[in-house]
Amino acid sequence: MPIERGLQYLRHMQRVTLKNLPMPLEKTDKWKKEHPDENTIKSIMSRKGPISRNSLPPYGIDPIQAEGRLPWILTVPKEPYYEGVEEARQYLPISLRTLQRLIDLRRINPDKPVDLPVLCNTKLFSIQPDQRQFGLQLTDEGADLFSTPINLEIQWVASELAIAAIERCGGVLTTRYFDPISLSALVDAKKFFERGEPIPRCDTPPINAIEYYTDPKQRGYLANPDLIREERQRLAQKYGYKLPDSSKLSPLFHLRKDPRQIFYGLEPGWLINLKDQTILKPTDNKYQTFYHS
Amino acid sequence: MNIISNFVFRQSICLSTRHLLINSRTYKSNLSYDKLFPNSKSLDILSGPITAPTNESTGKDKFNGFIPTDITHRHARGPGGQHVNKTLSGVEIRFHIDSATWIPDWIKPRFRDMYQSRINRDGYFIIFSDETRHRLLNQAQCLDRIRALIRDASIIPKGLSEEERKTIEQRKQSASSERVIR
Repeated sequence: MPIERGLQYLRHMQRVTLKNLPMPLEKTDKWKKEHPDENTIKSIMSRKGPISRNSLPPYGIDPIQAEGRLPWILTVPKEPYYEGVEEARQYLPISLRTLQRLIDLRRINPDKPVDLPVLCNTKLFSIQPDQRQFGLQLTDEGADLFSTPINLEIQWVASELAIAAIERCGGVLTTRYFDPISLSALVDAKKFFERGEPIPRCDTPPINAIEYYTDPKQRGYLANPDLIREERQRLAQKYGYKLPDSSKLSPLFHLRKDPRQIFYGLEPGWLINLKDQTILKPTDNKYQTFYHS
Repeated sequence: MNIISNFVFRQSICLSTRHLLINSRTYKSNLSYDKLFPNSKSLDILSGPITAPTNESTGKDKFNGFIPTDITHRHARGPGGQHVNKTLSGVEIRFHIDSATWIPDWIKPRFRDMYQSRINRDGYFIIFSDETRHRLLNQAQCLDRIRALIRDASIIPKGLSEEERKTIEQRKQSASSERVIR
């Protein structure tokens, strides 16, 4: 009983004051300082700012150090409209209409395989490898006008209609990747041979391009030939034309470059001497293993 | 003499490049096609075996999506002045249903029932498209629609099984008995 306890204090203590008497912990001043109640908190805190308005800054930001404002790095907005433009690959467009026009004007010979050096020799396209340009892309304008079978090798195709337009006339399309060093050799072939450098070995595409060039739907050069045949049949049924008989085509239509090869008929590592009309081939073992790997 | 020898020299160079291109003296790196795809049935894109349907389905089977392609016919429609009159970008496809061997026989009567409005008095099924600016795309749309219509006609509803019929009957009886009592 509390009365008994009080009498015991009187018996055993020298001096009894308010400060001497033992109190429950929650009523001591020390405890009250460490555990302020809601009203004291409100009187200490500011009446304005995000804390009083129940809107604290997001996680990871100290509200006391932020002094009621967001840190500078969060107040300044981010506008990533041109993010990744330094690494983006550019392809110059060539439409089916211009292709047909070049064939009609006899600037391109459709009986031979048409690839990048043939198209660059027409001097209609100025491809600059140091400006992140990686070749040509085929657009589908003029899909109804196109009517010659050709063996075309291009760097990018965006629309299925362009692929269908070429295959409908009996042609073949492959998309091919060239790295910038090989591209500078292809864009102006004569100038490259006059420089006196061996033909470079083409690199494999970068990681964000591998999915495109192994896709049979885009006729990538690293795609499985079985799947490419299926896709040709699928497109023929979708667009309503008949695939021509492959045995009636000239053997130049079956011609395809090796993934490391840049020019038709020339291997990487060879040195072309235009003046003496000769080709120099490396005989050393290490060069041979490098250029055949 | 000089001119003739030059001509002869150039001719031989031309022949040799063509020879180079066609000859089987090919360059094979580590990434050549026979190493990348050792299990492929044929490395040539143009010729080789295909698993997709290349022939029409015969009379009793399921429709396999193959349409023989000699049934098209082009003309144009709509406003646009000289351009629309000159360019023929509309595509119309007609075929006689009864004599079409590429539609399975059991689908034909259902097809005729479902799409009466597209069928002619002579029995020709007509479909037309001029929604895009390219003839090829309109052609693709017509054929796609034909395939979708045939597949819709080939779906036969499953019907109710014995147990389902019994449960429905029981539910009806219990509902009617409640009504009578009340």
